[in-house]
Amino acid sequence: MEDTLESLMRGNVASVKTVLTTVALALAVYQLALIAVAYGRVRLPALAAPSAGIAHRAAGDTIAALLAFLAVACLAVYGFEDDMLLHGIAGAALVALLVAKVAVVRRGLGLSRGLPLFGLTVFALLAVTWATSAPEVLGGDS
Amino acid sequence: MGARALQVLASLLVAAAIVAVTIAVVTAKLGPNSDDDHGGDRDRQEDSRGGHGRG
Repeated sequence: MEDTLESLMRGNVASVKTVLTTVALALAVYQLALIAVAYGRVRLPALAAPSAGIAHRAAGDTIAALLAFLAVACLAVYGFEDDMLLHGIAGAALVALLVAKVAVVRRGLGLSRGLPLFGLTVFALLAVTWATSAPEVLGGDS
Repeated sequence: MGARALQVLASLLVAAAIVAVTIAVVTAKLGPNSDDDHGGDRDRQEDSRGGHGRG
């Protein structure tokens, strides 16, 4: 698995991971805007709430697929490392909560009213996961 | 095509634009051979110490 991923990313695992995680984070910010419109917290003349909800679901599916790939790549190549403990914990919690959120969205499970809290927590965990890894790669020589 | 479909399509195009801009910005920030410099591929970095790292 590790060799396959290294080959797929041509040896640039950290860079590819950083790019994809940043894309997920940027889309997650957009997700917050979309869901604010879908819940009627923000009203836009050009975007109705139901349309924003559909777009939120579609973009969310994309982010979920992206995060699943990133989680597998991260675990396969790096595993859990002591010096990246917070990153590992935040990432694992992110995946677990994302699975729970998808289950609630699709099946309800009596927790539908908690979806905003689920979503905000997922966003916060994604931000922590990004912040504990990406700046080191992006920081470069500065 | 209905108004709702157009709105959804436009929203997804915005998402695609966000993805494109993010990839462009982050890739520009990383630059070529960035893993050699930033230690992303740790095995390779270890192999290349004293070689083509930061110099």
